[in-house]
Amino acid sequence: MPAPVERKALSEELNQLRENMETIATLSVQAIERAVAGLDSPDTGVVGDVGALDREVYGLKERIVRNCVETIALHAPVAKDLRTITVALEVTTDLDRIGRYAKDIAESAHELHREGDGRESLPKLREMGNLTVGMIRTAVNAYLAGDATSVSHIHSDDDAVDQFHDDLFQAIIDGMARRTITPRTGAECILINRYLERLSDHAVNIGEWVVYLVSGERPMRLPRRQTGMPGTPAPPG
Amino acid sequence: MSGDKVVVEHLNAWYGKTHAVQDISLSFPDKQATAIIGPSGCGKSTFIRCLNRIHETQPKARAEGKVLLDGDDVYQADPTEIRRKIGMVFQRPNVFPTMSIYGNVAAGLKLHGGYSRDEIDTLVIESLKKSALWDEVKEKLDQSALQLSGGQQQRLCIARALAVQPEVLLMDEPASALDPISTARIEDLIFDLKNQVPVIIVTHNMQQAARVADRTAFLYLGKLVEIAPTRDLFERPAEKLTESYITGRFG
Repeated sequence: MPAPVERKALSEELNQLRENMETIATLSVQAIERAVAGLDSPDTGVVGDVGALDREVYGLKERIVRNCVETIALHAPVAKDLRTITVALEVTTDLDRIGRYAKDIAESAHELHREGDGRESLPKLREMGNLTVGMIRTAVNAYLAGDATSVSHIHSDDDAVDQFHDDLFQAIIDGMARRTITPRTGAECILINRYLERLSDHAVNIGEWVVYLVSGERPMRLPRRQTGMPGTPAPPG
Repeated sequence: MSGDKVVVEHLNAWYGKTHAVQDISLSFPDKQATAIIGPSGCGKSTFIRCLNRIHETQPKARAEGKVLLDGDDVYQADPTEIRRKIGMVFQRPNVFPTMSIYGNVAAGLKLHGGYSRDEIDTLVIESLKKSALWDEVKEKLDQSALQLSGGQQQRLCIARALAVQPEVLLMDEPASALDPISTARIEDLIFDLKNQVPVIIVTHNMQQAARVADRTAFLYLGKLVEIAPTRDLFERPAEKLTESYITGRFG
């Protein structure tokens, strides 16, 4: 076989993409870790910190998308190169959403702490948050390492988060009915519950894209679970 | 496999002692475009030249193996008739310089004989329409073919190949010498033509293969490395060698 060609310009673009993906992944994970940690106790700095991280994530996502489109236009990548770029486009969208949900959780947690009631929900939300953050870490590390084996259990973790979601939703509704939780607090808890459930879906997305990146095979998607409020239709998308 | 227009079995081809095509077996379904890609000298042009027996017209060239057209062995048939049934368009437009536009398209029909003047007129017009050239030349059919641009000359060659109503169309780098607009016209043409006859196109242009072909075969050092639906081959090639070639990381 002849000596390999480097394709220096394309390799440079892909190296830059990799660096940017490492950065955006780190920022997104930091944002959600900080936001979930904010469930523990009032910390006025959390909202500002997570908001700043979210803005950084969004700005970087815009740059990554622009660079990916340019790379496709200029280099017409195929095979693994093409998968690297299409997966980066997909994963960067998930990471952007993770940053956004982190900001939403930080804001809701801030409101919860200000209201002062409904604390019985917080440990469960924190537990669910830990599981979700763990899923995101696993998926992101698998993506950065190009290791599809480490996401093999991500669907069962997602099922566990879904179960948390359903149980917590019922508990919050019950608390509101018993008037141990104010409507305002109940609403914030339901929102956090919902954000965490959606975050685990984004972790699953990333895990599935890792499988595609490595194997070229798109994983069979399970039918989308009813992820809305129990008894309501699932939201589109 | 049923539905295959052309079936190639254990094809080998040589130029003197050079073993250019080595034991290739492939089939080409009707109404599909198949691209053949591979580095220079990998045997892809030789391979398609074996299909219509042009290869054997070269000095010291020979071929072994079977090429079946609708189940009939091409190498047991009259080569002239085979070349009518399996038409070919070459890399550089090879118009007949002393002939008019009309004469170029009619040349094959007159050579094979058996057509009335009216039939020839009809086939010339039909072929020029199929090759998307009619609107550009209908007012100057009696003018020299050399007055046409490179892209128009190539479409004229396609019209000439189509005029004799081939059952298969071979194209050897048909757009490599053309500008992007002319290339796009040729690709549009291939897209339409494949609904009428199987098109087998040799190309160095990976994106062209991706754009026009239903299936793509990768040849290397005279051997078939891989053939797959084009989308699969460019998204997840099965062979590492194919991946190295199509991503450009290959000598």
